[in-house]
Amino acid sequence: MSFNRAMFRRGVGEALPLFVTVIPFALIIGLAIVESGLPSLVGWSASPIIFGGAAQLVVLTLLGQGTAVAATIAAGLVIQARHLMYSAAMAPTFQKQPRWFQWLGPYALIDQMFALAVTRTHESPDDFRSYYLGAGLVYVVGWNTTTALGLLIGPVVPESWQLDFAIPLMFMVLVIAGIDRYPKVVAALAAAAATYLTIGLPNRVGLLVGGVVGVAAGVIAERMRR
Amino acid sequence: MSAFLVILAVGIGTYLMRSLFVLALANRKIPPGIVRALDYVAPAVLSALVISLVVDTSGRLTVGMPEIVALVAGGLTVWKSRNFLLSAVVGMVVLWLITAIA
Repeated sequence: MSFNRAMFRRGVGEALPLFVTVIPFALIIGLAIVESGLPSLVGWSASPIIFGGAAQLVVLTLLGQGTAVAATIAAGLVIQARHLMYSAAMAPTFQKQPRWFQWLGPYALIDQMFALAVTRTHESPDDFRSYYLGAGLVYVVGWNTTTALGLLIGPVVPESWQLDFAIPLMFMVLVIAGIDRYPKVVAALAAAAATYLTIGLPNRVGLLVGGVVGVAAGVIAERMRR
Repeated sequence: MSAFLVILAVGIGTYLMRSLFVLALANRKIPPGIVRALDYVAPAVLSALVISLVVDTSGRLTVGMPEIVALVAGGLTVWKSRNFLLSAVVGMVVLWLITAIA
């Protein structure tokens, strides 16, 4: 077991441009903390504790509205449920990792980390771990500092910059970049259609329906081709 | 105080979901069929995420024509170049140009 400095640097290097697109979201979180009326430190504590923008935004908003505790927790957890799929998808790669990394790594398994890490599953275990640690460091440090900065800056960034659009743009770019065979196109399109059709379901359950339908469609497309 | 406990509960739940399969399957043999299926998690979930960001809960688009053109421009750029950053920059610049002209 050894640490590969070059792969660590590559992880940092590839995570940084992706992180830039997350900054507007961090500022929105800062704004949401201010608007929720919670003490700043309590609101910000969701960054290291939950470490997931969408869930943080929903939990802060519901807390600010005085929603029931159980309903708020349920809403936050349903939004995070897609991470079960990331965990399953990463399990084969993490099998070859030391125990400490199997415990530490999943903490940083956010959407962007997953999108980056799946492109590196063919690397040797040492190279994968070094890459993952580099990219993870960018997100853990970056998210916690920018959401704290967002408390100050969030309320003053002009809306005309439309920076929040960078997030769907980046995820779409990542979907297309990851497509290396036709069944993945089927998976992406089926997931998009299923999510659209179930978007009205409470707590954004449609996101999960879309994910499951997309995986199933990809598997079926692969079987039909063989 | 109850606000902090809510945050803590969602945080613990999130960690459990992120680590569940990694830790539970650490020493088990995963059937190859499952491993192949897991290959489709990324395109499926990330694509679902894009839709949930551009469509509101009543099924209406939350973005207009400039954003759609920007998505197409960013999509074509990454298809040709495979460069994430360049594609995001192209998408945002196209968006700003269209908004400035319109």
